Amino acid sequence: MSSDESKPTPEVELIDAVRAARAEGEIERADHEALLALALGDDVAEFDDDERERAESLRDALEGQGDHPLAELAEALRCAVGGRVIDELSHERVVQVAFRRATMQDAKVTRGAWRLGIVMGGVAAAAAATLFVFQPSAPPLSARRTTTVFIASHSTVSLFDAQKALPRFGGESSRIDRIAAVRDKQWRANRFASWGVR
Amino acid sequence: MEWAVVGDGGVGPAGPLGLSARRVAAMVWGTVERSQQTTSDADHTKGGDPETDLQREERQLCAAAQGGDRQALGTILRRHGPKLYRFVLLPRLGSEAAAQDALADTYVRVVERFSTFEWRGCGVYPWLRVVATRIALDHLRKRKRELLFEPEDLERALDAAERDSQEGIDEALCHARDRKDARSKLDGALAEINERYARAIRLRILEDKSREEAARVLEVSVPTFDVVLHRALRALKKKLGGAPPESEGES
Repeated sequence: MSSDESKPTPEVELIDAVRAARAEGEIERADHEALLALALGDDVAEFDDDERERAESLRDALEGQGDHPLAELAEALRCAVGGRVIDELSHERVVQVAFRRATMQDAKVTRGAWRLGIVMGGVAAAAAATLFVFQPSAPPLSARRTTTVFIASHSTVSLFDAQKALPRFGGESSRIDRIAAVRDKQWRANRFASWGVR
Repeated sequence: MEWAVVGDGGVGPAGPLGLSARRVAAMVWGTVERSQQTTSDADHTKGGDPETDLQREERQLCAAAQGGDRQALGTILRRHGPKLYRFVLLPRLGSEAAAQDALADTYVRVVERFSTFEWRGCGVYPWLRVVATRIALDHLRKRKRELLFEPEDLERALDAAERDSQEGIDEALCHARDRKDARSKLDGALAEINERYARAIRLRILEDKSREEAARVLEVSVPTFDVVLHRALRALKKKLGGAPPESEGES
């Protein structure tokens, strides 16, 4: 902040002067005491027991005993000066926590995709099983000319290139679309197979 | 795991050292020995100072980290994290606990986004500084208590850090700018209050003088100094837009 920037313009000073002339507010006690202290010295400035108590409480807080709201500000000022370093142990803990959190986030995405795949696989298998069991008009197996082969429920692993690692970010929607499309196709195939029209 | 950086032949924006920024574009995993690197040091310089060993090592670490090597990323974070804490986070967030939380968030963000980092010849620190400043800004926006820095200050700092990163400003200059930023904010705040109060704060809080010593400099008794310091901090809090002094004891 340059001194030129912080200096009010003559217009601002005039506005402040007009406002001050119209204002009926009183000077705050602390401000007044500060002015008195400047003029007369701090030892003659007036302070009551309540203020002394608060000052003592702040003193204790600054020395690490107890809390005081102003101690937080004092700490912020100390931090702004700089020069403080993080100790190695605390830093290592922060690094480990961050890596764990990042790993957990990765795992959450992967788990979500797998869960959806498993659920869809289960639905497809259940649908296939239902069709297989409850088909009143289906001809007896012995009457079929060819043996019906159903596509069994299976893992989604085969749908993706095992050699290629899944990207860390993005592509979830397209992977889920792919799983859904393949499952849908297989379910239809099984249904047609059970009807003997495949 | 052995690895090698392969040159892509691209010419990226050159930093102050004149290094090509896109030389580390591709990463291959396999059994290639380090000695078989296809790019020589000379390839990484374009008429400027030669790449130092430290920069070369860091560039290789960055390439490995971008290829998914978490150990390499860990090395980068262990090297630069304490500096982010000291120069970027702690001065702006004002408490060790808050700065450590922000550092953890910075690391998570770095792990997530490291693939977007582009080597600019001046090292990875300016990029990490942008990430840390952004996190500090997020944290500051969530805070309710009054601190020295406002979100607007950090927005300005973030703009500056992004510019520095684009221009390839080196690490030492980044530190100098962060220090100057914090110092001028602090001096600006202290200039707003009574000079004697500012002196009390400087002596006891910033210079960490004992109460007795500070009282001696101000020529008051020690109990009176306690009251002066209390008034000084209360006045500063008020100037920073904090709670009115009457509620200070109870807040």
